[in-house]
Amino acid sequence: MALQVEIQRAEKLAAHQASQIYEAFGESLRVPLTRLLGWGRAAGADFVEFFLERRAELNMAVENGQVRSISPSLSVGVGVRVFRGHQDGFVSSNDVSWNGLRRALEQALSMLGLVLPSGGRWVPDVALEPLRDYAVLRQKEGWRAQMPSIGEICEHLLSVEAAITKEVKHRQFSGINALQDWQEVLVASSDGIFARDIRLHQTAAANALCVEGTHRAQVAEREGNFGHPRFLLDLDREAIATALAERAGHLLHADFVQAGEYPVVMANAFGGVIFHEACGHLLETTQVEKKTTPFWDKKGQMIANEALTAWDEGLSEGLFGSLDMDDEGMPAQRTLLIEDGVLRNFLADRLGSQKTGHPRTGSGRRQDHSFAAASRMRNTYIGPGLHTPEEVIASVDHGLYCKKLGGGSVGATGDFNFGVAEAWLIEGGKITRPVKGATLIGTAAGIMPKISMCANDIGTAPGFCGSVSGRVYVTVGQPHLRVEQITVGGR
Amino acid sequence: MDRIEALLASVHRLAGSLDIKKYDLSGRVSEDISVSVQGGRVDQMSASDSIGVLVRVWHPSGAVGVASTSDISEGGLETALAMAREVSTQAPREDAPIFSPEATAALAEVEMPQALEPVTAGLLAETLLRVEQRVLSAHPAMQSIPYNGLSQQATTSFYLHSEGATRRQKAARCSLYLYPKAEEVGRRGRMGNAVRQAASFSGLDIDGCVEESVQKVLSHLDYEKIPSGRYVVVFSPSAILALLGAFSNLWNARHILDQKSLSRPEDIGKQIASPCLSLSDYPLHPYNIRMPLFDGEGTPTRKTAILSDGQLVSFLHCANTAMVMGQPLTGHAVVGARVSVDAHYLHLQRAQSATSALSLEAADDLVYVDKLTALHAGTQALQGSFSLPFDGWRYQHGERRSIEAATVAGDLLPMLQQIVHVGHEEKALPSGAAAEVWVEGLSIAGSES
Repeated sequence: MALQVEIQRAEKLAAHQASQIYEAFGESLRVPLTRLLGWGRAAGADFVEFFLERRAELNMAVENGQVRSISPSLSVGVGVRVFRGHQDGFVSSNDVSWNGLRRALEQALSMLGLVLPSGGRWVPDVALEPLRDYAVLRQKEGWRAQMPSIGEICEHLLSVEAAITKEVKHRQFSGINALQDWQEVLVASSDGIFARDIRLHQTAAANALCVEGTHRAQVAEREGNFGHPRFLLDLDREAIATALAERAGHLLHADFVQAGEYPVVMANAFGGVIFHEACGHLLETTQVEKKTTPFWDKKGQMIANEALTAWDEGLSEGLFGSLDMDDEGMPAQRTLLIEDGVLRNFLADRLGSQKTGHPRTGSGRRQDHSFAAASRMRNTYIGPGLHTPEEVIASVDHGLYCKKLGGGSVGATGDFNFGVAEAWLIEGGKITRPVKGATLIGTAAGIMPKISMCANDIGTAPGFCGSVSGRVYVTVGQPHLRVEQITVGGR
Repeated sequence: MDRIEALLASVHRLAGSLDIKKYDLSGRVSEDISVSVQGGRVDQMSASDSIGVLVRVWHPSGAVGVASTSDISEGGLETALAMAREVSTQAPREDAPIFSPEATAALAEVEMPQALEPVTAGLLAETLLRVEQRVLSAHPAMQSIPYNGLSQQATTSFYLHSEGATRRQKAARCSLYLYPKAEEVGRRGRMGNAVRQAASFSGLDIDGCVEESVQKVLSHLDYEKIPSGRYVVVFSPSAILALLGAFSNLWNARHILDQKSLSRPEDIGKQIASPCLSLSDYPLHPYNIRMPLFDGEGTPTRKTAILSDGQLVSFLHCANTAMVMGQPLTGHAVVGARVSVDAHYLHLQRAQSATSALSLEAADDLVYVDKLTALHAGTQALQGSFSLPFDGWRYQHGERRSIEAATVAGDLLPMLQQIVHVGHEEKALPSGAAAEVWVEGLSIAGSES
């Protein structure tokens, strides 16, 4: 009888504490989540995880001298994941009430043929660690209060756009879009993890369209930051305007590149997107477990030119892909991917590690609560070499200089492709004239041994990466580097 | 009172208590269930129950503030309304959205799917495991289906405004996609793909999806390089719909007014494409599973001709763009901080006046583009140019052979004029319906010059 009373009392307490969820994610959730995790384990699950998320986004757009839109968005939700053997069930919901959490767990269990223990049965709670609260440890609680007002942001964006208008010749349109994304997450899982974090990602993308007669040039610049509340007020209007004006000026009357095979020099910073797409994705355990990467069995082997060393990490202050913990509650790490051409590590989330045997690397990431976490990149870059950028360019007699890459993708056969936003011909070791319409095509296994020179000027750039667990914030980076030969699609 | 009725009642009550006079609300409730498999095992089973609501509040000055939320508790809705009201004080007055004059007009009467078939994750998983087995046993070179999924989704879309409009529509969709990979010793891995959708699980063409994916991937096993040069290029229905979709600014009235388009308002009436091409948006096409009855502003959807015999005859509009340009509403509003425009279901047809007669079997040398990839990276939508990798075949004297790796490049506006033939047969796809389109003189870059 006493036990029944205790069970009822505990369930009431759990429900009551879950009702406090909107106050803050934290200790108030310990009791309800402990109870639910215990129920999940008692139902027969090997592992149960709750990922709770609250988010406040603000999108703003300034175009042609006017504020075009201001769009706030609030969301709240939970993702519940249950493992049993090699199977997993995942359920997401916007209902984070006690009943909502319980219903989501019940549904995830039912996918694996499991049912919640019957009412009144005593179930041992899961012992959670003391709350590991990165929001408190890293003093992030005050970020929202430090963020500028909508009016302040709009005023600065208008000034950036005005600078673009002034600098860019033959401008038909120009604009700047800004995003603030504040996210609070809490992870509780049946292995005892109980951790909370706050993230703040901000980015601004400026763009312009120039038209003269039948000539058109579309140019864009993006900046991004993690963890600096007043980042959007620090956007350098002159630098952005000058970069857009120069690129538009070069491209407006540029000829199309002739298709063919070229030696290529990739510029630093966003040039790193080629490594991200062509190699980084193939080092994620989501690819290893399906054997859709040519590198799945190459750990410890030479997969790239010995000039190449590459990292993926979540630790660099302010970089777009940085995080204190991943979306499975694991602290961020620095992971050596390739050392002097030798494959050293893969990027593994919990399930990927379980399926492939490679150790977890704090790389379990997801767009939001509606996606299950998967192994994803964070800040990924090729390390610096010994050459100067000038030496790398001078080493090419006739080739292509990819000063600014566009987006790209890689398929399950390892084929990749990238648009080149700004390309120049290299003739006689010198950069000569701009060309447009270039696309780089190749295979990951084919290009990695062909990266033969790395300069000493590593740079990084923010970006978005879309994959199996949605869109996440990443950084790409590299120094200037030379690729011996690559197929260039053009005219 | 169901969940949506309760939500709408809450918003009315809260707007009253916040003294908000003019507002509207749109949103969607969705329930999904999906599975994927790998190597004879269930890879993942997932389900979601989601809701998204967008409220707009009109300031007495005419400016409109918006806020969206997935928190439909009283507190969450109140926060969203209050936030939208706050934003309305700083929002631009120019081009402010208006209520659609047709938000209370009668909707088309179409037969919609009834209650969703009860399908469990277990049934979906069993079905997909059998599908995987069939695909992998189709040929010794078949290795895996790296990307696959079988899902069912039920949605309810709704719209209301403070002057009495109330719209609501249920829809259901079941989808199967297969991207099998095959590889022969010493050769590159090759992939093919097939997708099917139906309003119900029992209506899903599983056999057709299996057959198409297998045939495609096997057809790519015997591949060769293609020399770079200019070719006649035939776009498959899915390829041409994807390409046109990437350049949708051409008929998007919002983008045209914002000068973010290849078109200008005065282009209506111009011959911008070959006379053998006609294009419309046909939301209520019998093969469109979604069949939306109203757009984001509550305006009834309808068939809208965009190109007729190559002539640009209409843009797609929301209420504001139609008013500004003095053109009829078309029912294409997508509501957000700024109302934009999007097509529902493109329908590309051979013009009635077309007389061309070409066939793949009789062609001397052409390239068939079956599937375009990396459209986000390879199209410059405002520049009008594209350079895109593709899966496809080369036809020489009636024989076809897969192309190892290549890109197709061109400029959209000249390309539309270079269309020499539109096929007679149309294929209905999840994104639209189209016939094959033949274009002269496009650049193909192969990996061998």
